[in-house]
Amino acid sequence: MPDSVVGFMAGELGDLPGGWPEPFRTKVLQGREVRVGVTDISTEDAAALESDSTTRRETLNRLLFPAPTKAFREVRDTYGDLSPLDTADYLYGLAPGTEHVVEIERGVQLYVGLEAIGEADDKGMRTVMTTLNGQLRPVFVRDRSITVEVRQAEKADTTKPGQVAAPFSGVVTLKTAVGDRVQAGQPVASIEAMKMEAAITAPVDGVVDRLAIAATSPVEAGDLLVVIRPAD
Amino acid sequence: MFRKILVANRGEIAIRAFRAAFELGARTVAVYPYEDRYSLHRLKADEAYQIGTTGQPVRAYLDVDEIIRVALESGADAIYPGYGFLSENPALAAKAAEHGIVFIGPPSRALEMAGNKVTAKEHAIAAGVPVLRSTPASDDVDLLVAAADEIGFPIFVKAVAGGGGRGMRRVDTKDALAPAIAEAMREADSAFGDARVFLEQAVQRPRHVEVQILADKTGDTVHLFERDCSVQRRHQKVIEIAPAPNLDPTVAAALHSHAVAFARSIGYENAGTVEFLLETAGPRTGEVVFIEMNPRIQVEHTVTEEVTDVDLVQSQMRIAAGETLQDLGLQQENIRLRGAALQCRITTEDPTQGFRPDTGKITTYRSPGGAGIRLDGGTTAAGSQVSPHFDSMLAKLTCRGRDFAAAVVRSRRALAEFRIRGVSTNIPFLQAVLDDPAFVAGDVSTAFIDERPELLRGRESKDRGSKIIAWLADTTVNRPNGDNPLTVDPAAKLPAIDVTTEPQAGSRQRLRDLGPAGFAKALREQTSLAVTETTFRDAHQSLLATRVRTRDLVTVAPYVARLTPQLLSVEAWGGATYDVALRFLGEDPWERLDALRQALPNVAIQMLLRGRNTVGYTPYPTQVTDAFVHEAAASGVDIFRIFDALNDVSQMRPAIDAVLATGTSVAEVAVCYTGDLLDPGESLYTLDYYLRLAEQVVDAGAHILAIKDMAGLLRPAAAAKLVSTLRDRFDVPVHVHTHDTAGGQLATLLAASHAGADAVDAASAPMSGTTSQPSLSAVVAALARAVLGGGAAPVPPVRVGPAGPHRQGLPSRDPGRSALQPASAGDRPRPRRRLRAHRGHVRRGERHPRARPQGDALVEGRRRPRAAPRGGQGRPGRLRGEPGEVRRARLGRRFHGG
Repeated sequence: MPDSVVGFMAGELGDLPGGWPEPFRTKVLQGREVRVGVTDISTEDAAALESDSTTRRETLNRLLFPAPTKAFREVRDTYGDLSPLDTADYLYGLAPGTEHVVEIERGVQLYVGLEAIGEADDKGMRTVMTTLNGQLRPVFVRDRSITVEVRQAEKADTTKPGQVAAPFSGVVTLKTAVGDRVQAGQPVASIEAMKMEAAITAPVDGVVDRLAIAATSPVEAGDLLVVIRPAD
Repeated sequence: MFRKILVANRGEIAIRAFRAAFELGARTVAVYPYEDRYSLHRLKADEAYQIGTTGQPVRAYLDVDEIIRVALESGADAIYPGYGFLSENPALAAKAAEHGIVFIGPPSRALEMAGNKVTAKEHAIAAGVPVLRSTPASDDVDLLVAAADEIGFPIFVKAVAGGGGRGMRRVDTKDALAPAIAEAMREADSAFGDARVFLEQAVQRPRHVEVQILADKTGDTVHLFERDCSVQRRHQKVIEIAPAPNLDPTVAAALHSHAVAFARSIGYENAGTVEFLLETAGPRTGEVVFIEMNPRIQVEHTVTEEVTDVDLVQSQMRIAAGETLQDLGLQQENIRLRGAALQCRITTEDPTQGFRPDTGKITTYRSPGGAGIRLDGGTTAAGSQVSPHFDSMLAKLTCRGRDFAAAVVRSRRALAEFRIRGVSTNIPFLQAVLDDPAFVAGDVSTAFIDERPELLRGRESKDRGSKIIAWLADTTVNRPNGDNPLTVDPAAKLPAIDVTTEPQAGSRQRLRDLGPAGFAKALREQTSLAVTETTFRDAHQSLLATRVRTRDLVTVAPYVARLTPQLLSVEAWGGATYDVALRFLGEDPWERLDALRQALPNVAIQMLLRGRNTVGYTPYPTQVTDAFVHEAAASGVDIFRIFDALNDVSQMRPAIDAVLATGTSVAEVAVCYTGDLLDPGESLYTLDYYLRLAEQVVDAGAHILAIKDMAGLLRPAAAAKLVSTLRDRFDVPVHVHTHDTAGGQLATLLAASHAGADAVDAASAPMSGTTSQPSLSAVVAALARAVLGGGAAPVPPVRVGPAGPHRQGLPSRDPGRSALQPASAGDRPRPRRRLRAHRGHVRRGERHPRARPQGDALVEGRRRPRAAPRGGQGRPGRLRGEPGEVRRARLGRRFHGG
């Protein structure tokens, strides 16, 4: 039974004139707890709604459609404002032998062409050689139709509090062992890059659960180094 | 002059040295490890030799034996060390001397004395130069911690062999001291091979001012004025200025003479820099203290060169070759300061990521040029790889001007001209610093950046070009929508009208003039059928999953504004457009509304709003509904059609109240239709059901009552009954909305219109039918020949265009015909014109028959005369045979809306 039907039967959309179909309704709602009511907003959001137009719009977007708004922001941050693109370009991309014109602002035109698409490397990346305003511009694109065999380094999960990540690429030397009790702010590793050394500290109190790299290893930004089991 | 100079360095300083050597007529030798084989410095020398072992590029440049090996192999007679690496290493100087190769720099003893901070300080004291309190050097952490108390805090931990900000830590409290000492010692050991550190008094709010020195082998010593290097981040210099702005001339003169005195006292030779701190806060303000001497050329030497016109690197080479300052023409009296210069270090550090150095491939590199710009760069061309092995500096930008202010303006312009793509840069940060009013006023200290954390934020380069081609390239490779099936550009099919002219006034102006209540009253009273066009929302929501993009809507809107200004409204927002814009089209729905409002200034914009939830699905408190309606109305929504899926008026109240509260927008409240009210078996959704609902709707304050037939179930006869009953019972205008799902809804609209409906929804012909609305062209054509007499006008063409929401040709009033009877051959006023008009395209340049500056009705004369019986099911009246007076009175009214 889809959630929307369950919600409907529970009265999310209101009361059916003429009453509810029984025994269907009881069957649908059996064992389910559906809370129907108004979802409150925070005081910050309430204040934002009273604020200037830009803030109000952003808040409304976020409240009304949280996931799509997040997706939209990511697209905007990654690709900028795509609305000046011609729909054919937006949907289908570049065609060889064609010059695509994009007017990103009044009086600012970009002339984009496609020179070549390279072979995919072992990470599934292709170099697309484009021209932008007549100058060659390589763009590196992940071809999602290609499955990549190469084992990627384990990346830290930023949502899990005990995971310690490399802040940038460099060579990390671990300073702690499995079972060590650590405190938030205590150095657990050091990283060297560009001839500077910096300490990597534990984000939480806890016990070191697992070391994800060898004692001294080159790492990329975001690679998992140490997993700490947070003290409860 | 030397015959052949080997440069024991890389990047920009190596290139700098090659340039100087070339100008002096010497041949040049470069060294490079495997990892630097693509570096530009290798290509700028006459000969280049590989050094070191693969995998350890930094170590190669620190390997004295390797450097000497190459010098011997290449036959170099001098080695230029640059800065960093071996430039202050007495071992290199000594080894070179052993082989009869000249080390271009001070002699070993001077290197040792200047390089060792503790002995340097002793010499300074002896020379009468003011210094900072400090401890002796040690690698004993506890000893140092104990000594700290005599000096007080804040305190610096400094590496004895360090320089360039490395091996240095500032400590503000005692408990942070021991770990800081330990870390600094580790760093010093790895970078310089010497772990010893010492502690030193920290100046509260210092300006870092340094003096450039040149001395020859005879001991003749001159200064080339000072530089201010206060703008630093974590003790790394970011911006350097010559001369130091806002510096008291007496203090400047004192600095110059202290510097020369110190250099003389240690018997210095060649180029060097004496560094001072100037206190700007507290009781010691104005005092200067010597901190150290750098016995080498510095990164920021360029600013001194720019303001004195002295080539320092060439001077170094010539002095090392035995020439005197007199030979170089450098006597203190004739070294003059001219103007000001400013150097910015362009690096790959990303200010928004804590200045983490970025690596990667540079895909675009364009540097500035023009007056007063000097660039000293390393390997920075499109296609070069920025590696993590060496420091992150891409180029030095030195700008010169008549004074400091001019140099700042020039620097700003040059920074704005840079185009570096593929790696992050610190350019946005530099721009923020140069815009800071304190900086421009010359009010700097080493705390400048720390005091202004906002400099690190924001100001990201928009980089729109790179981002858009990233999208295009990704779409080209991954083809999420398959191949392009189009062979025609829809824009080529737009009619040839002038969209720069002011469009005719329309329903939006009327709403402004009359207010919502007056607008609704006028709608109720007008005789012509009003039409809302739904192509911009419901039509593509129904047929294309709401996937039409803002760009296409906005392209067409000016044509709609000028070709059909008589529309009651354009339904263009709400419904699923909000969600789909964000989720699938990468567009902001508010931006769409703004753009449409601008492109369609004369026709009312209508939106669909679902009761309490507005456009979303979560039931929020009324604050959200209020804010939404307020913002939408302010952004240009004129008519809000509010509905509830289960016809619960109480759920709609908050939205209705919010719209009414705006005072400027129209609240059109919809009653959803289902079933068949004429079916004798219908027990729930009867006429009475709708009448009771309508009463609640009207009580709630609705300006217009809409019948929302979402499923296309409203049959013609039912429509006639419902519409006429509603109009008899209530004073509000009635707006009929249906979907042509079963294919017969044109009949319903005609029946409704005949029964007195005030407005209907229809869509552009190619986007009409099936799950969309009935065709607008069909509605207009069916009702065009209406009976209201007088004022004959030609019927312009009704053209069916290609797929796309654009419109041509709508008939204006053509009285004298019945809407329900076919045109008979006998009574056609202008047959020829009509036929021709129906035939082909409007020729380019020809004035479109519809482009007429009058408030013509869009659709005339299908209204049932008011004189029809009330309170029951009126017979659909025939339009012919109305009282003539009534007709004429109606014709007299010019102001008809769509």
